[in-house]
Parts: sequence; structure tokens; C-alpha cells
Amino acid sequence: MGKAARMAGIVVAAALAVLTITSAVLLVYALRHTSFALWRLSAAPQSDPSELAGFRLPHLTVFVPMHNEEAVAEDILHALLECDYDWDRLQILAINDASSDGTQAIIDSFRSDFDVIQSVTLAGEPHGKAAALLQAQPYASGDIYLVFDADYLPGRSLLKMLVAPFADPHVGAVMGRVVPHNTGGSILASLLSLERASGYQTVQQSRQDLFGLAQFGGTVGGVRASALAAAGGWKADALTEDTDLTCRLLIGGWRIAYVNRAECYEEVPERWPARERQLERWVMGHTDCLHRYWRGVLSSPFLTRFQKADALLMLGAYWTAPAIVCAWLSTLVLFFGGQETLIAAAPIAALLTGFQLFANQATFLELGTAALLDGSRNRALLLPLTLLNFFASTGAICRALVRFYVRRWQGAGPGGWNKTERSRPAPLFQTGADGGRGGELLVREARGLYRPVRDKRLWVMGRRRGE
Amino acid sequence: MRVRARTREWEPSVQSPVPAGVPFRRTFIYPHRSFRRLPLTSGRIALGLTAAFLLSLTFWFFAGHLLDLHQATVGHLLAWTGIPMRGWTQLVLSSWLPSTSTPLIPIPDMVEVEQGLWLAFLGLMLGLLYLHHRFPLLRTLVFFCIVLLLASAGSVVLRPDARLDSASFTKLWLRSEYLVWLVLPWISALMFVVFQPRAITGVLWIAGLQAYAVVFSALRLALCLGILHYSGTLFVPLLWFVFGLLAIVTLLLVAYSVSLAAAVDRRWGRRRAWQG
Repeated sequence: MGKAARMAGIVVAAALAVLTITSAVLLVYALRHTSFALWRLSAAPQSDPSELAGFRLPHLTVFVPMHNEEAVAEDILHALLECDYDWDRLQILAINDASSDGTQAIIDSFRSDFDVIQSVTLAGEPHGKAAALLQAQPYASGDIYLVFDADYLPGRSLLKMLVAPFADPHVGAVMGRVVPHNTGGSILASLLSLERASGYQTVQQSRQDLFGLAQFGGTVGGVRASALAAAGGWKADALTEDTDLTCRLLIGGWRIAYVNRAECYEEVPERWPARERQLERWVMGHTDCLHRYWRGVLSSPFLTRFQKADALLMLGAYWTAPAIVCAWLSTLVLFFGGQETLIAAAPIAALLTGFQLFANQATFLELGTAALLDGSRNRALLLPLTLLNFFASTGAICRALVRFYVRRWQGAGPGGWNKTERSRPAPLFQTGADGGRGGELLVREARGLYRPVRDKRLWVMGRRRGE
Repeated sequence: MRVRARTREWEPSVQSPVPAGVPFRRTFIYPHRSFRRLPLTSGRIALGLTAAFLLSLTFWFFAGHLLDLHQATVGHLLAWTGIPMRGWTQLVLSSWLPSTSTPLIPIPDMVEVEQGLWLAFLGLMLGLLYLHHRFPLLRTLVFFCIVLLLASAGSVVLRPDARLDSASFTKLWLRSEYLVWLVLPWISALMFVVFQPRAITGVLWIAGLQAYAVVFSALRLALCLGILHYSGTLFVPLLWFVFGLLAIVTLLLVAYSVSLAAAVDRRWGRRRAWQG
């Protein structure tokens, strides 16, 4: 046998090995996600902590980190003021992370009107969310900390629903459901809405029910102050402080509760570059957590074997993208490996096809489950287009992972924090001519955004300073 | 003392909690979406598995007839579109699949089609590059297609003697498709039976999709053979990917989304525009 033929044989054997390994990895994820979809579809939620909403009102601090958020700052502060939480037990900490626009003026305006709002201003370069939370924490007086990103619009009873699970002393953190409101903004926004629905309605609820391992998402959620202290506080260098804290809480034996009923509206990226930057931050931060905590997860005495396996699969979720690319490349090698290999490898390639179908199908089953339970007929019709999102995300995740490992090899950190681009053209709550911030009646427009109708003053008017 | 109560799940599609004739504006206030579920009964699971098993079994035992039918459809389509055939040849697919006949299509050498082919190649590359530049969401998919095309072109340039005749392409196609046909009922059972308000609707979806998969495969194979006839082997990998795997996944997803939308209507009632 010639040297070239031997080399070709080695390459084909290597491609077959890669194909087998990647197919096995994808199969594990396929089984995991199929189980989640079937469980969520058929089983009643094991517990509903939101039933306790309003029975216990601990002292609460709501953190709102902001960096150049003048388009949305007024809305989040207004929405938080409208929440039905007892103001004697509430502190809203608006954190201005080195904004260069009108964010500080908006915060100052609210602070002068409402005692319940306090502000922390960070100067210099933007610090990032985790660092901003860390620097603002000394000013927090609550027993429970909730965190909201500035583009979120909490409903009136949300704070009560989110603090309810803390009645259980084992609960260290809580997470609510994120629902995009700008679904009409673009096709991408609609697809991301479908993805979010799957992530919360199906995956979070199933993980909560099956393993008691919901994930704290860094917004529309919170942490018990004592649990945060026990876990070591916020890590300023973490790109995804939510996953980082989730890992440390789980390793330390705390439970994280997911409240599916606690829905909060958010804004998803409407343009792919913004989505790609968001995805890059998530991938790098998430993978960094995998490297930091996989040993801790495996050795934690508080986690069962199933919980450890699920936690590791969650941390390694982004590795499925390069696995899929490796499988594609292996199929190509087999395809171009010559006539004999081509015919012989066809069943294997087809087997991969089956696995790919199965793996994709698991994801699509989750998406379908969420759309069905939500009653979203139009979203269900968008399912074929999620293939585009699937392909695009696979590429973006691979690029982010390459960047992460190059930086790691160079001894650099996981990368700098970047803010997600906002697409809201103007604040939804407009300050009236009389300076009042009455809660207006909101009317939904075609793009999915809500616009206020004036002269419909709600109860918050009567709670302004000095009235 | 523990008391266990057995309650029947309410089925919005088949029963109303309000007696007929009572003039209520709403017959039922739906549970909030965070608490909804659709209980899976053992009967429904058994029905889905049985349907998948029977379909796979049918495809296994009648493989010869199905393949002949498939190939006859391909032959008719090629004749109808005027693609010349040099006759039929017997094709041994594998030791575990029956042999079938396949039409022989003349596929030109790269030398015969060289100029026109490379122009088509250039046009396709430019089109793909435009899509890559214009639509960010398509970038990874288009990039993969570009890689396939370049690899294929490299293979043609480096190994001009390597040829793929229509029989070999059909063999490759049928072996892949047949595995998909065997796997498809099980995937469909999982995707269609579990959520349909009536289990029988799910079973009909599985059977319909399975039948359509055979017809769809014949259509795609005829299209690929037609393109092969005019363009030689340059586009084989791209055709195999786009009209093979991608087409199957897309078919499955389109069927899934349509059945899902119908199920949503039946489960929760069709919503008004303002309800989102």
C-alpha cells in the first residue's frame, strides 16, 4: 500500500471517529432536551412558589444597572414604582455605570421625586454589570436583592412573586420568566422570542421540576443577601455574572427557584450584529464558568449524580456548536474521500443525518412545546425559519469559542463586557407637561411595543414625594 | 392521613364545562400559560409507538416495492422533463436492502461542459457571496455552501479523472433516504402524536408525512439527476446537502409547524389579533 493511500486511510478513519464521537455527544443532548420537552408538556409543575406571593414581604433592594440607557431608563424606573410592593420595605438602586448620555439626569429626576429610589454613580470607563453590582452592593439595605436590566418592564405584582420563593430558607436565588415584547420588530426578534419561550417555559421549568436546578439569569431574578455573601459575592471579572453565581450557589448547596408565572417583558435584539455580540458575551462567560467550576460541581456534596450531570451539560451546552461543525467537516472528508469511501460511508453519513435530525428535532420539540403551551399560533408557524437562526448561531458560537480559547491561550481574561444594543426608539412613559409621571393606559402597536394613552393617571401619582 | 383525589383533565377541544345553550360570553377561562400542560396518556403513547412501529415494519418488508415505485416516479419525471435516458440498470443498494432498477442519465465530462459550467459556478458563487453580504442571518448557511462548492471545485481540478455516474449517485441517495424513511416515523411519533388534541390526527400526520417523504424524495432525486445531466459532477456535494439533509429537515419542520398551529387553534381557541 502506497504512502498516499495509507494517509487517505488514516484521514478517513479519523473522520469516522470524529463523526462517531460528535454523534454520541449530540445524542446525549438530544435525549436531555427531548426529556425536557415531554416532561414540560405533560407534567404539572411540581410546585408553584408564586402562590405565596404577598404573604411575606422581606426588605428588598432592586438593582438596576444602567450604561447609556436614556431610551429605556425612565420606563424601568416608572414600572418599578408602579409595582405593588410595600415602599417601606423597598429600595430601588439605580446604578449609573459611567453613562455619557442623559441617564444620570433621568435618575436624578426620579430620585428627587421618590424617596424609594436611590442612585449610585460610577465614574470613569464602563465597569460592566458584575462590577457595577459589586460597587453598588454596600449601599443596599435589603435582605433580598433583585436585579433588572434597564430594558425590562416588570408588571405590578412581579416583585411579590419573585420574593415569594425565599420563604423557603434553602432557596438562595430566584428566577422569573423573560418575555420579549418587541416581537414585531424584525424576523430575528420573532425567532428570539420563540427561543426565549422555549428556554423558560420548557427548559427552566423542566430543570426546576426534574433536578431542582433552575438557572439564575442575571435579570428578572434575585439572590438572598446571605447566600450571595456565602457564595463569595459578585465576581467583577465574570462576563456572565448570572451563570457564575448560579454555579457557586449550587456548589454551596443553595437551591435556585424558577417562577414561571413571574413574567417580565424585555427587549430582544432586532439586528443580527447586536445578537451576535450578545451571544459572544454569553458563550465566553458561560465557557469561562465551565472551566472555573466543573471540578467544584463534580465534587460538591450537595448535588446528586443526576444534578451534577445536568449542571455539566448545561455548562458545556455551547460546545455542541463546534461538535456539529466537526460532524459536518467529517462528512465532507468522507464525501471527498473517494468513490469507495463515498458509497461505504453513505450509511454513516445518513446515520449522522438521523442524529442531526434527532438533535435538531429535540430543540424544535422544545420550541413547539413552548409555542403550544403559550398558545402562540403565529409563533408556531415561524418554526421552519428557526433553521436560519440555528445555522447563524452555530457560526457565531464557534467564532466566540475560538476567540475565548485564543485569549485563554494568550493568558488574557475571557474578554470585555459589552452592552446589548437597544432598539426602543423613545421612552414609552412620557413625562407630561405638568411634570407628572402618571401611569398611562398602554396600547399595543403593530411592532409589539406599547404606547401610552395620556390622562389615565394611576395610583402612583398619589405616592410622589410630599403628596 | 393522605387523601388522594382523582380528577379528569379538562379537554378544551372536546368538551365544554358550560352546559349547551347557556349564553356565556366565554365558555371557559383558560389557565394561565405558566400552569398549562397536556397530559400524555399511556394509550396515546402506545398509539404513537404502534403507528411508528407499523410504518417502519411496512417500509422494511415492502422495501422492494417502495424502491421500485420510487424509481418509476423518478423515471417518469425525467421522461416528462425531457432528460435523455440511456436505459435502466439494476442497482444493488446493500446486503440488507433489496436491489432496484435506476435510469441511466448521461453525465458529461468536465471537459465537455467546462466553459458553461465554470460560468455557472462563478454565477452561483457571486449569488452566494451576495446573500452572505446582504443577509447576516444566512451567513453561516451560505458559508457552508461556499465551502462545499470550493471543495468540490478543488476535487474536480485536482482529480479530473474521478467520475460519478448517475447510478452511483442514485445508490448514495437511496441508501441515505431509506435510513431516513426508517427513522422518520419514530421522530414523527414524538413530534406529532403527543400534542394533537385528537391522537388519530397525530397518526394521520405521521402516515401522511411518511408517504409524502417518498414522493418528495423522488422529486428531489429527479431534480438532482437533471442538474447532474447538465452540469456534470461539480455541484454534487451541494445538491446532496441542500436537496438531501436540509430538504428533509425543512419538510419535517414545515409539517410540524403547520400541525402545531392547528393544534394551538384547537387547544386554546383561535385568538383575536389584539391578543397577540
